[in-house]
Amino acid sequence: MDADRILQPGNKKELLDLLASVTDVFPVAGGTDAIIRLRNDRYTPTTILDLSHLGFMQIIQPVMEGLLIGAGCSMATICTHPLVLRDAPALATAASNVGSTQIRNLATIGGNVATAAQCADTIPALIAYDAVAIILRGDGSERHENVAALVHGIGKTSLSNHEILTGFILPRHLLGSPAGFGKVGSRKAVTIAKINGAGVFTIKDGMVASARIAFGSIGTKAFLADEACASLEGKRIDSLVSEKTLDVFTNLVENRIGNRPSVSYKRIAVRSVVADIINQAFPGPGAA
Amino acid sequence: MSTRENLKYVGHSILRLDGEDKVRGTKNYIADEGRSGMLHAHLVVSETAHGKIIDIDTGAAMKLDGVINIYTPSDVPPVLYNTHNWLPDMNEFNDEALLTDTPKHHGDRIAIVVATSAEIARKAASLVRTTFEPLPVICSIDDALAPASKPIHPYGNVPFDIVKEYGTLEEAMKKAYLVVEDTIETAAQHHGAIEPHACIAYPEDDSLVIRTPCQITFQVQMLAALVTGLRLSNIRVVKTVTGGSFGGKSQPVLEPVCAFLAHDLKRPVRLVMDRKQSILSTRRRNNTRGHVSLAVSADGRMFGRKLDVVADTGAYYGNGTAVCMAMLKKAMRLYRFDSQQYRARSVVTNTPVAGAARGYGSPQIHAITEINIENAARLLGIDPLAFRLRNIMQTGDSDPLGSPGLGKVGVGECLVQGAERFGWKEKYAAHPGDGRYRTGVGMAAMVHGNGYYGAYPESSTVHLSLLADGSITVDAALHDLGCGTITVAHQIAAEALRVPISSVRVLEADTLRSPYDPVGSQACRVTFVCGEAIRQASEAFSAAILERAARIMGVQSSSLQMDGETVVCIGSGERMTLAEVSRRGIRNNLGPLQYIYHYDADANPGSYGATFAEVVVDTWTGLVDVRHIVAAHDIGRALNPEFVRGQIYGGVQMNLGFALYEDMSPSSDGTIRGSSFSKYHMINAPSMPQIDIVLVEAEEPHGPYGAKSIGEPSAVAAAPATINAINHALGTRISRLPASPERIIEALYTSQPAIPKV
Repeated sequence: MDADRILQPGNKKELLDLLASVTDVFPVAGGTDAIIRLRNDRYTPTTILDLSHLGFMQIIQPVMEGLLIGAGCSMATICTHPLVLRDAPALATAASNVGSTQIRNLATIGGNVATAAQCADTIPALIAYDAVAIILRGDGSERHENVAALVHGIGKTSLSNHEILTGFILPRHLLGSPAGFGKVGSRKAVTIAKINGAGVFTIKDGMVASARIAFGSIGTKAFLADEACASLEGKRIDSLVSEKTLDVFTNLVENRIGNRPSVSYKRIAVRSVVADIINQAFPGPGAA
Repeated sequence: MSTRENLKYVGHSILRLDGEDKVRGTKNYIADEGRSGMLHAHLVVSETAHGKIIDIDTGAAMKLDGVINIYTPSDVPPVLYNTHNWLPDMNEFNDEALLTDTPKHHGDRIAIVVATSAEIARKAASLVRTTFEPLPVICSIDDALAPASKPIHPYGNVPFDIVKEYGTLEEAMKKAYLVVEDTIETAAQHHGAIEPHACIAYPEDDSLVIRTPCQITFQVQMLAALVTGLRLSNIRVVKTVTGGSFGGKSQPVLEPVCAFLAHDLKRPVRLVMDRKQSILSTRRRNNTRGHVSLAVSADGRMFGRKLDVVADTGAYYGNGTAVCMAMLKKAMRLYRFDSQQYRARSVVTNTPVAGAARGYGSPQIHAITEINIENAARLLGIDPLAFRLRNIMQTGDSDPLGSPGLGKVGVGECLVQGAERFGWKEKYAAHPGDGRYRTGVGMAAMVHGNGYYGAYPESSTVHLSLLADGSITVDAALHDLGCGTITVAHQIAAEALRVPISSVRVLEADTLRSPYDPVGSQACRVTFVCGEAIRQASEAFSAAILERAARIMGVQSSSLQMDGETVVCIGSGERMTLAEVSRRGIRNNLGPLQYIYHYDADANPGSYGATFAEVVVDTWTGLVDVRHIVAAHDIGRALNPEFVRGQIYGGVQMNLGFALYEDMSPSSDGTIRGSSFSKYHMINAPSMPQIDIVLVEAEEPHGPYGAKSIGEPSAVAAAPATINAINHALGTRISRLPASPERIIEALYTSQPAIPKV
């Protein structure tokens, strides 16, 4: 790592001034991905932009549109924050599944999204909650974009060089809904997801009114499995985990990545992710 | 021999002497050490598995400020060596150079950058550009065995092929009720020490000094002499604090390189690897494949066994012979057969170089044999415990190939007491369940050695000195790899000298002052051989101290005895401190009280063990949750029970990784995907099971205070026990390690038939 300088804005104004005046900045928040990337010399920026001192990016609070989660919030904060636990439990669980305790203390949700790994744990959860990213531009204006659209592929996003991801809004209508998160890696903890997924459900009269299940690590970017979810709608919540339901998701994996060697494993393992999501969303005697 | 009761230090879990410094972070490792004017080296290693360099462009790298020199293959002496050769006249294939223009594996050394800082060296190394002409890549055992495979070295791709046998296998097969056949594969494994490979070399007067966390200082000295042209007398190798080795630092990979650089540049040079290079460019466990044919009677007697094993040594020959011979020994010393035939071949492939790895063939051969034995028990419908107990070696049995005696064979006690602690009978009888999660249990037995007696020269020499303040130095050229060797040596020495442990200082190896020991810390010899040497030497030295005191005091030495830091006359009560014995001896012109004691080992018994595993397998993900391990070990005597338990916890951890996760297998182009800890997974704390330990302490007469080895034996039987438990839970016959989730799902849902019933 041999950048010429490290810029450390302490507030939004300083951040905007820097964004307007400096080119080729490498934003670093928690640094858990960035340090590895810099050390591997895959990228040698002239300027590192340290986002870790920006208080306005570290808040979690209710806003008119829903729940605002600052991009600079650490995974440790998110997975223990009472508002997240109450309103967006699948996101809290996703954050609790990231790396190790030490990594969760530093890694931020903004970094997880902006790094755009196919296996990022919080991206499927944000997509399931239909989260909107807040992006600050160098000219001081903001643009909003759905997380599902923001992420283009492995390491690829719609963010340009003069834009900083500052937070996410989880829309009000899904907050507090039954939700769950599932992940399969190669070991219990500190593991990269082979498949992960999050689901948020709305219920009417004991039936699924709507289901939003998003997956990561099936292909190069996380996605909302809308067609497969449609098959859940109208089903009784105590009969959701069935062979038939799970077959739908096995088919989904086969259709998505049928030509890859990993399909033979993921077509089975996806069943566990879906079952875990449903069982967390609807705990009780019906759980498989 | 002293009785257990009156021992002051032996058998007690005293705290390790370097523990506080390590916990406080004040102990210096090589990467913490610096020297005035020190330069930093970084290796440039091959990203391709096999190729001929047609161009190596160092232009951009040389332009960086601070780069001192960049060495390419034409800049280093054309000396070939083999880092396995530790005896001066050992002559396994010499096929490795300091740098190569024909890299033979992903991670092979092709250039070295030396710069004023580690950062600059690393950066410059990343700027060195090489152009290769690709050569055919041989990256599997099958590739290497194929008759048409193009030889990587002049000696061919199958340079070692041996058959050893006793009895008449044909007869055993003929009278068998069943011949149970399995083909079992084990993967290459990285050692995973926290401290990466590192060393420092620097010129001092007319010598070259090498500081390294190695396992065999005198071998480092020998190889450094070879590449620098210096005489052995001008090379000093100092063993430094080791942050874990597990065999990974046994073979001098970095030291010859660093010695050459310091000698060439006449300046101190430090070479520290990153994790990727520690994985790719040092040594790894040989991957193996073994075919077993086990001939058994209907009531569970093992008549005979045919083993056909292939060990992959990677891109250089290294330990190709030794690992096959090590596996042979284990295969012969655990069960009674009428006959056995063992064939072993080593193959060379374009993969990272194999070498010493905790267990040295033992984890591999026991995976091959113990999974097969459990399968046979299930096919016969016999409890695997009863099956093993019926066939195990007993005290008094001989090695069927004429190797040294087995000593006290404690495998039966390990099996019986371990099974009892584990609750084997009930657990084995329980139904695995038929839901998503299935429970299973498995076991495995094992045997390992205690040094090289019977195969290589095996001895240890000890220097002892009584200093003027009454303290005593003990030097047996020891190497503490982080497991407490030096502390245990203090316990033995203090016990045998009959002085307080605080009066003793056991030194680590330094070729300038230590007695010559070409073998170092290998082959589970340190406690058994060097420890016994220290015990005998210390007892003799204690007698010499009393003799000296008797002369000074003018009494018979038989009237004197040690009492703390003093010598006391039993009759008169007259006392003389050890300091006085030393000073007055010198004053009276009796000379310094120093001693050189040489001990030749005369036994190499088996260290036996049995491990029991309980697993829960998730049939939807293939993830295995190892719930409970019972490890029973025939330790002879635990000199420091807490250290023994520490070894077993760590051994189980390493061996479970071997069973379930760890895999350095190459892609089809020979590159290694698992070259970082994000891709190469070891067992971490959340995945560790409850481990219960049973120590069988039957006291082996040839070991110090009855002790036998544990460092390697502890890393052997948990893997086959776990695979057997998985197969018990699922009704499968999984035979490839690691049993990754993918392989378990495959076994459950696609290719592998469940175990057939007889």
